[in-house]
Amino acid sequence: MELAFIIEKFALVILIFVVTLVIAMYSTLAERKVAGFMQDRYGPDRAGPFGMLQPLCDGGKFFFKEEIIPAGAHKALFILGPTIAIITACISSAVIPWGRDLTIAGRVVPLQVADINVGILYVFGVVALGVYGIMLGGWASNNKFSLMGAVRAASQSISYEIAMGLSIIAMLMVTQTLSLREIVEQQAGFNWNIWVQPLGFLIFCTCAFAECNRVPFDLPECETELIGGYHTEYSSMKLGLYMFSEYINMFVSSAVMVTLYFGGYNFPFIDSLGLSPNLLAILGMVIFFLKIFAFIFFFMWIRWTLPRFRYDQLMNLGWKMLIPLSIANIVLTGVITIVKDTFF
Amino acid sequence: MSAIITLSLLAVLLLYLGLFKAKKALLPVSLLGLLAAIVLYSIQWDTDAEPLYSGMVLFDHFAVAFSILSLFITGLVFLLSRDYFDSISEHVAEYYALIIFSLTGALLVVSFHNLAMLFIGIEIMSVALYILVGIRKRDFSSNEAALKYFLMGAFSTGFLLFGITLIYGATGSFDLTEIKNYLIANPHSISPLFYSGILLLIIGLSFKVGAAPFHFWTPDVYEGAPILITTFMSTVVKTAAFAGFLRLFLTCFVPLQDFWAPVLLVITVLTLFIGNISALAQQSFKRMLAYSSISHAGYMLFGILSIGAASAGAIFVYSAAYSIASVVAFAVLILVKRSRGSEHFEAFNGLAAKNPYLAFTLSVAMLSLAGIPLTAGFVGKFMMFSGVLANYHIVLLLLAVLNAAMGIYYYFRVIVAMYFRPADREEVTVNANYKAVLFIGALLTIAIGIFPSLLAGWL
Amino acid sequence: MTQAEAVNTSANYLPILFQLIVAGGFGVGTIIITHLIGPKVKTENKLGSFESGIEVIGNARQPFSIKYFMVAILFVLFDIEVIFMYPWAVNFRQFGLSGLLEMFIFMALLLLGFIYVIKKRALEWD
Repeated sequence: MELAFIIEKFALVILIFVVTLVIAMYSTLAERKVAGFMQDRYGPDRAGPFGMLQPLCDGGKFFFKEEIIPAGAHKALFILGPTIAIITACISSAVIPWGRDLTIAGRVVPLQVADINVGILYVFGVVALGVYGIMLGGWASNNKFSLMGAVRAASQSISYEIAMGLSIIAMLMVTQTLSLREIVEQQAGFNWNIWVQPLGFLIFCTCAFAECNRVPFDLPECETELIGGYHTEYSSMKLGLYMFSEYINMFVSSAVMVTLYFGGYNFPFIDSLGLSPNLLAILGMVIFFLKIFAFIFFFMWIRWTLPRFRYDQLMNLGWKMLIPLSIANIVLTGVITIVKDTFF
Repeated sequence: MSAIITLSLLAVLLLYLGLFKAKKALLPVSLLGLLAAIVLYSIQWDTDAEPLYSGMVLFDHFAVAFSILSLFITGLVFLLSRDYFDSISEHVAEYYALIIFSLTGALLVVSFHNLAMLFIGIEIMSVALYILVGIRKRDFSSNEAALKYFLMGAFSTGFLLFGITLIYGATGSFDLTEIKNYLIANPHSISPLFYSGILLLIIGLSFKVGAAPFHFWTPDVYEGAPILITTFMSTVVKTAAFAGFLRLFLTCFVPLQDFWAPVLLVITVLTLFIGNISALAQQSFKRMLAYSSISHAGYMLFGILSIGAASAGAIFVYSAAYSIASVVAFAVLILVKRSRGSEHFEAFNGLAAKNPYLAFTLSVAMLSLAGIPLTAGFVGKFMMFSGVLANYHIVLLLLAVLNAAMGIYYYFRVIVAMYFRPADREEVTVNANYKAVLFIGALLTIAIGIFPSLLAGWL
Repeated sequence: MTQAEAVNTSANYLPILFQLIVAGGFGVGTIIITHLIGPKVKTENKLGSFESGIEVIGNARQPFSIKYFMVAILFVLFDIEVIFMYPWAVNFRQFGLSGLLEMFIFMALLLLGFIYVIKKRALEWD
């Protein structure tokens, strides 16, 4: 293990971390701007040009607000909750390949923090851990609304995890690997997985919405029923961390969806441009982020378009629609692949 | 293996019959399934037994004989279950399915050839039972029994699993043949892990068969569970656990007999005395049967203690005799409890005058459990004791005979109550299924008692 | 299989540890900073539970609906079955038709259990 490797990885980790935070911060602004656009109004426009400084003000305010830990709360778990939420949100991006390898001064630098051969499993494992943050925070608050929000969050995210796992299985049957890097390489040019797994993508996308607790699946924190849901009792930066982790989750799940189904950093005619490899890597990364932004916009678009589900509708959709559908998808994929392998 | 697969599918089928409100079909379908499994096993009897599925299971004569016994006893339990389950709970199909699942686990336990299968079999068997014991959801004693059984079961599984781990650590294999080869290859340099492993396995299995000092869950669980579930537990499950116990020790641990025999000896003597002395003091027939089942575990441990070529046959005959007699005893108990609402000895007063048939079959069962000649129980005890006599001290035999005498006292209390204590009572109505089971049970008990070769020739 | 070996070493997992350190440092650091610089005026009302101004009755940690528990148990069952499918999915082309049929049998059993659960109304929310 040479020093250069450690420095390189640390630099990459910090870079990605900063980018993630900035994107999460500006997603809050984007959300409000999109809401304004959809509702035919301006949205925030006071702090700086087009309200560009708004997220900074919000962030600063989180730091200077009073920190309240309710008297009846379990103090250690109350603090642990948001910490777990932010940690799991931040580390889930570790296996996403952001672009092709860069060559800097003769040294090959992969634009991926960790290329492990169980990439998808890692993402799922970490995302599944995220529910602990919500569950612990909600329980530790000692508030009925928080507890209800936490329990809803837990049972919602585990319900949709099954369908998500099943939809991924159909995709693995196509890719034959768990490594995200290899999955992206297979989608070179325009061979995106969305063309072979449209149904799988629909299921995955729905589940991703549910896992991120986004509208129409935002029952854990629906203001009209549960005050603030699991973070009712939270204030100052601990509330900020929950908010952050939600937006980071949205960013990461957009990145995962792009990686799995929309070719990651690949774009059509990538190799016929005749550019140098380093330039192509950077161009690929830009394209990758553009695709992610498109998805984040899609998240927001849905939020300001659809109403919220009722809880039984939510559970019925997860268990009685998505699970059978994804099993059907696996069967279909299996049969088609075998028929293809045998006869063509 | 086809029988085990058949049974698993049968259980799923039963669940679905319950879903589609075909309650009438449950009993015939389960009996047909059991019959099919028995036929499938019988076909296998004369084929050369080879370990199947990478050495996971082995259907030798031992496995097939014990499997058929378990299937047969389960069939008797099912015959008794007409009208019984319906009165306890609305989830009748689940009863049948869970019993079949538990039976499937039992069949794996008697035919394992790999320690992993032993563990899986015991788990399948036990997990279904945890639910069955607590299936009367609104009954406190049933709930208590289920919780106790679950906690003790989980605890003992821990011991078992740890023992298996240590043995794996010493030998590097779960396979019974490999473990035996390890012992033969290194007679003087056996890893200390192996010895601890054997001790932990003895503890874990003693929990499962309910041998003292690991018996304390048995009376409460047997009393709290619905009577038919108690019947199933004290017959099929106990038989399977003993068969698994014996199979493990017979195949693998014979060379180390000097090490584990003293430990098992202490357990055996403790089990006998605790079971019998506690049974003496009981006023409830059901609880008496629970304690007497502990003492029967003690007798069956003799078979493992005097391990050798004859012990499989001895345990087979003993468990067959014990199981059949127990089914009869519990069947009569169900009928008496239904008419008198009590499980005490007094509830049996004067039964002979009104229901001579019931009283006679129960007497036959009690005589068999006590080990009186011309019943199956005597043959079983005789085979056990002769094995002990060949291998061990006469003192041990005297202890066993003393215990048998104690057993005669408390088993005869019921007979005395039925024939010599007059009481005003109504005639107990007995439906055809019960009549058939009682007839089969009494007939087999006497037949085996007179012609022991009927069963003793199997193994 | 050089690539498979290359991605299997623990060095490949080390960067994840770096990311964990950075993320953990951020989370813990910000909480400590706000703890230090924020105002601290504690009053009884502020420290009580917030229930939209209504007086709080009883403790929040009460038993909640068994339905959530059912969902959790069913999740464990189904998720384990899903996990079994991962290694199969990655290699299923090598297994060919027989492998596919075997997995279909496995999935049919899963589906039978699923239908049973639904028919037993274990997932009804009313």
